[in-house]
Amino acid sequence: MEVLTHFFSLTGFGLVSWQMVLMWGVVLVLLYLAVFKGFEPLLLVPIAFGALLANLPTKGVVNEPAGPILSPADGRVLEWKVSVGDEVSEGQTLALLEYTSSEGSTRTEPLVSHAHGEVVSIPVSPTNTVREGEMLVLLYSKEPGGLYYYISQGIVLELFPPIIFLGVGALTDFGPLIANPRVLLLGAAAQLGVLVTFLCAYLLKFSPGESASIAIIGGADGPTAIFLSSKLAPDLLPAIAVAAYSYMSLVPLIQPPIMRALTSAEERRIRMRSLRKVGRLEKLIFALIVTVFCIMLVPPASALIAMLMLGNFLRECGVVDRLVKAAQNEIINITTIFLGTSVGITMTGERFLQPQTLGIIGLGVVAFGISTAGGVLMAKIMNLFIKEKINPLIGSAGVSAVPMAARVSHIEGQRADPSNYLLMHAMGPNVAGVIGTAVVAGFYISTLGK
Amino acid sequence: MLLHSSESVQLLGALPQGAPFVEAFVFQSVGLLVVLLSLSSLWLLCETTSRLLIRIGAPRQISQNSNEVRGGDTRTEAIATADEITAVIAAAVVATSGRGSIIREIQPVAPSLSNPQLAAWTLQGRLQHHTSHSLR
Repeated sequence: MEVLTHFFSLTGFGLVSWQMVLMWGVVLVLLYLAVFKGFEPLLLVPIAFGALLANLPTKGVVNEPAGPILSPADGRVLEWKVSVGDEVSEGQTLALLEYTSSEGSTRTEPLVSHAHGEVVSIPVSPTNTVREGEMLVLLYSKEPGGLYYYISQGIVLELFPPIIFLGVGALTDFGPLIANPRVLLLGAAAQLGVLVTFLCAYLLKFSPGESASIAIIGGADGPTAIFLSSKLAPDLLPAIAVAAYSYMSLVPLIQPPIMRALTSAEERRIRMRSLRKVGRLEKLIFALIVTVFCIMLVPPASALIAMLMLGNFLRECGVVDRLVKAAQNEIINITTIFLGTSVGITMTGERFLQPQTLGIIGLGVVAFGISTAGGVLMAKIMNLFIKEKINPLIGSAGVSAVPMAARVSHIEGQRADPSNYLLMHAMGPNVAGVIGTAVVAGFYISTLGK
Repeated sequence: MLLHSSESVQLLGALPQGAPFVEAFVFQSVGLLVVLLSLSSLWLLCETTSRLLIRIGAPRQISQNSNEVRGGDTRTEAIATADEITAVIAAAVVATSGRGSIIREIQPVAPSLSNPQLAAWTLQGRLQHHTSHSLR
């Protein structure tokens, strides 16, 4: 019996909490949506599986290695609970710290060890003030960190989203946009949802950085949402990523009612002149112009823009076929697996099961809806001034969800007139939306980032 | 003089924590303006480049990976009989959708056949539409 009890204490069953059990339910829902309903399975399957791992006692998968423990904010050390030479375990309280908020109020919080190890250095004495990021304790252990501790550095260090953008660039044909560049305005107008949702989130008492990260869901661009929230609101990253990818898969359900409500039957039947052919030289120059212009305008978004246009330049230059194939397939696929699971790994019950998750999911719908409306309304406004009318249905493709949003425009157009082909026209605002969302993200990082 | 990024932050008017809603609204208006101006500028740059290339008569090379279909490729000589065309279409339908499909009717895509360039776009649109994953 004693052996059995000892064995049970070594298993993970004793570590299961109610949050974990609830998260298993969330995982099952996500897997169901992805596997049986086809909701963005490429991302939701890895995210859901990562979330499952995050809610299991998986030592060796997600645990951090021993090393320096840094101060999470400016404050003061009140008391040390350990001394040099002590063995500490994961979750053990090392010290009591006092933090001062920006409003001037103070709060006392324990400093908790993130790993097992031996305390080898404590460079800060009690009552000393400390700055954010300053090392408080150094732990040593022979044990390395878990597999996903290292892989998820791709998100922490903001590597995965730009690498995904390399593949996106290699897969994207900017020809329809170059042939009809005025649709860039539709891509800009579709960012209206991002900006309005920011204000809604701000009214709901989210901080400016959190509001920006939630609002970018309206851009319908998963990598950009992850890139921005990992910079401005890392705590909200799991909820934002799940909301962004879930809503992207719901584009065919969210957009059509809004498109139909804002357009007349006559407008939906507008036929657009077929686009001219765009030469290779023009596409190459476009890639260079976007790179230089956007990076000069919003340097913080340079990683996204640079990789997007590098991928596109590789594609269009026509002399690096092997690199293009790698970017379009192996690189983007491998990164997608790691990105998805790394996001999922952050979905621990304590982080995800918060009231603000519901707020984020609600605000995500608002963002998508207003972005759709913004694009459609901009097309209608443009029609007041231009000779060759634009079918307003392609305005909704200004949200970046490529190519889903363009296909929705096409299908809605065909409902009104079965022989009207809007797909390639809608691809223009669709890829303009990718650039627009990256510019918005750059604006937010410039103005709200530390 | 070039501005350091931290200085440009001040120019754009960063939003401090707990700022009043009006300030947030102004901040967002600036954001919308930045996006509109930047993409409008890109529009102008694209237009200028296109006109310049057309004026200097740059050769139009179609890139290897381009999704475009050359207009000339779609011009077919009327050498196939109606039965042969039906057989080819039936084979294509089976290859695309699998067995079990019944072809009830075959119609030419009306407005595009007379215009090879339009036909190319139509074909490309159909190709993308049918080969992408299915919509719910």
